[in-house]
Amino acid sequence: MPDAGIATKAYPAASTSLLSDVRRFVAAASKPYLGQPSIHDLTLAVTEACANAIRHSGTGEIRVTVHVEGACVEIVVEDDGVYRMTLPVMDGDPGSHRGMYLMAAMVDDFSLRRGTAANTGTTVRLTKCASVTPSLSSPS
Amino acid sequence: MADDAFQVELSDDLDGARLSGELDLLVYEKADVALSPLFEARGDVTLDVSNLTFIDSSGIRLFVRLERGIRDRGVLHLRGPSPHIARVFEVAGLPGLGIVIDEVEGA
Repeated sequence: MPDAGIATKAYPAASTSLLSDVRRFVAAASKPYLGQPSIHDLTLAVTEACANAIRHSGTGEIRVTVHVEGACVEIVVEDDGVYRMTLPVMDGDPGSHRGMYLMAAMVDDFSLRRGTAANTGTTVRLTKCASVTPSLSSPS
Repeated sequence: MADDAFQVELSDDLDGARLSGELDLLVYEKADVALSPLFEARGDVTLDVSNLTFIDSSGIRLFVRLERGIRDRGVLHLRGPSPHIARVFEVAGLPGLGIVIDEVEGA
């Protein structure tokens, strides 16, 4: 059963139900592997990644892939756009960059590959691991 | 309509509202319009969030804007969040902005 833990779905960026559709997909795919609090965290992080793509990248499509590796679920969010790099500015606006901060706070690990004008397509990887390791004696 | 569709029910006195469903970027404008009367509230505003099942940074931004709008006249209360929603409020730093999170016993 190769790649049993991998599934990808593509969503039109203009869909008005994109974010809730992605959350249902990620929650259902993660359910066998993560507890409910972790699933909530992961769906929030994925929502922020997709919302960023919707708002800033100019992409026509967003693809979401679920990988399962051991006790961890990795969600890959890909678009075909250009990542608009903005640095957090301490301008007194408590709302600035809260999305990126929330995304990072909700997962165990994340990475970002920025799409550029010359090489479009941003990839965000978000990893959430089961909080309780099933067995410490598992072979590594 | 899905059970998780975002809904707002304003109080008769326009000093609060009951929110339900999922509040994210794609319903932000709807939420902003629905809550707009509360920006003119004369005192404290209480949002019952006990039936809110999801919130992202857009929803957090809306609450921060509402708090700023009423700050001179009252305090924004967010009442009865589920454990997950309460955690998002905490991580997003809402208590540090003067927004009061009212946890409800047995909720």
